[in-house]
Amino acid sequence: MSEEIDIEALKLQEAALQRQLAELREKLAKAEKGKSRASEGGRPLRAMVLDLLAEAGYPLNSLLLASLMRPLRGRDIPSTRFGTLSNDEMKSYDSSRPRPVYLCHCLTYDQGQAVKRFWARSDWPLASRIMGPMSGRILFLRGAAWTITLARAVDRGERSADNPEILNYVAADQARDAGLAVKRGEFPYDDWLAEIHMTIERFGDEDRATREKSAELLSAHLSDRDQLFGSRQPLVSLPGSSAAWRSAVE
Amino acid sequence: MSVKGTTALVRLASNPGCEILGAMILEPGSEKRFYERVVGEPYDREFGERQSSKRRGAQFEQNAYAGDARLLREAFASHLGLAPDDVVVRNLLDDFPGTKDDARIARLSITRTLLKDAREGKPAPHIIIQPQLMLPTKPGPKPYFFVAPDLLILSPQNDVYLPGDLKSFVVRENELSKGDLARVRLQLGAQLLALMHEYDRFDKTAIIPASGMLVFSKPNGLAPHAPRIEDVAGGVEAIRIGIAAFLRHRQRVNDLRAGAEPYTVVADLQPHFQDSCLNTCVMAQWCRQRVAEAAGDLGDVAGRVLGDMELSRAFGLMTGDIEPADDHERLIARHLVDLAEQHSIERAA
Repeated sequence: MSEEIDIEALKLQEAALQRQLAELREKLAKAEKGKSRASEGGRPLRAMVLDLLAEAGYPLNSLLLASLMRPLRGRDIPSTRFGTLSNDEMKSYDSSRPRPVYLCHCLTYDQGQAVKRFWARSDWPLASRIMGPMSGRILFLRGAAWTITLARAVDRGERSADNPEILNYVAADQARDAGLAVKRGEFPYDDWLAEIHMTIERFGDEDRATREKSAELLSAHLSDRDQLFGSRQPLVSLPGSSAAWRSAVE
Repeated sequence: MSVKGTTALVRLASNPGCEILGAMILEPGSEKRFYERVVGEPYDREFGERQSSKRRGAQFEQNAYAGDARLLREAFASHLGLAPDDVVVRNLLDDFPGTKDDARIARLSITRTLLKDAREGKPAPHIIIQPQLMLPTKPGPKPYFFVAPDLLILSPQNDVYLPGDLKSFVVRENELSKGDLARVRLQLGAQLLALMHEYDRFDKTAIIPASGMLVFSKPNGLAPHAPRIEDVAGGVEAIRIGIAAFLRHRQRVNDLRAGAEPYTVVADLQPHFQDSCLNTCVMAQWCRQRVAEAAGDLGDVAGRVLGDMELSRAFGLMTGDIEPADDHERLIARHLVDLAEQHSIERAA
């Protein structure tokens, strides 16, 4: 009987501790959120992305932007947030209050359609926002080089970061994705940068020529709005709307 | 498992006789929700792919696509006859990320343009990542299936693309088990059929080889093996049979439901329980109950040999308590008696 009473008491104690733990975790999460907001002064994502793009000087992929926000600014950005950001920016452009600069997307060199994961600034020339066949690789390499440069600057004490260690790992991931040798705990920034710049040089001229040629054509055909957010996709007729549709088994 | 897209087609091809599966594909929402609405209680068994295997798959894809798909460029370079640096890649998730229908339709539109560009000799990428295809059925509810291969790879010979799929299974020497191979061949079959349909829209002369490409991960780490080319003519045919079965099931469900939701007519539909249902379908136990006391409950082989014979009758034939009604039963009785003697089961006096 006494053993049963002890078990009950232990269960009550366990429940109380679990409640305490849940409260503690909630408090911690709120504090961390408050801290990261405070460190950025509650700055909106839009402003932070514009700053990062200005600093990089090239279009950046939203996956890279999200992975840099945490070490640099202490902010966790869910990937869906960029979709909302894109819609907000288009609405803002369509509204009656113009902004000095807009966030916009890169455009495909042949159709001028938006490449939604690649972000740019509206005050950049059109040619720098166009993606040719090899631009995906060039932009990846430039983004990687910029990340490594940031990590090097933080390492040398030339700039600050919310979490320098994570920034180093993001830089190492970029180096590994570029096919460079990466050893645990070693960050040879200069070697990585030299190799990446060699690859960029190999494809850079051809890519620039494609983008400049395309910019001439697209600027003549696309409206100002479409030059920022891309030309509209052609309509796609979905099966089922007409009895004339053939089935795949016919 | 899912009842959407390619997975639905693979399941139909694996069990074309099951009308319950047809209703499940027609019903909006998840498979578990379908179960709950039919049975009236929550589904409390294990469900879906293991988290660890999902994570491994996602990581494998992420590695393969990183750095402008560096690992894929290296893996496909010799197949394409190019140096890895010269392979051009287009990742359609960069153009339109997301899994919602509007993103899929946007990717479908881009995929169609790229297929056409390659046929017309215009510049086109050698590898398209996350393209989107569509497999139409006849007009009616669920008039198409979205089919999304992981890759399309340009064939160096004739400017057509072939589907490719990344598989994070752990394989040695690029070989995998018979069961896994059958499933991935069906997947490639659905992808190839959808691709053939897309080509047929704008170029009826395009000859698409009945092949697909598989890229497995190496056992140590998550680097891709050399791509493996699979003959998927059988898979394409099985998918065609599956779609034809779906159209029959859809007709039957529509005739019965009179505008109501498909799950409401499940009791009037014919299940086709088979061993593999236990690993793939939430309705497996429910269907199994409907073949309880019948030969099908003993497994696929017993079901094939004994048909829909009740177990009590089979037992009676074995013990001699029941006289065989025809030649087929006489044959079965003789085999059952032989089996009983081998296993020392006594005949009735």
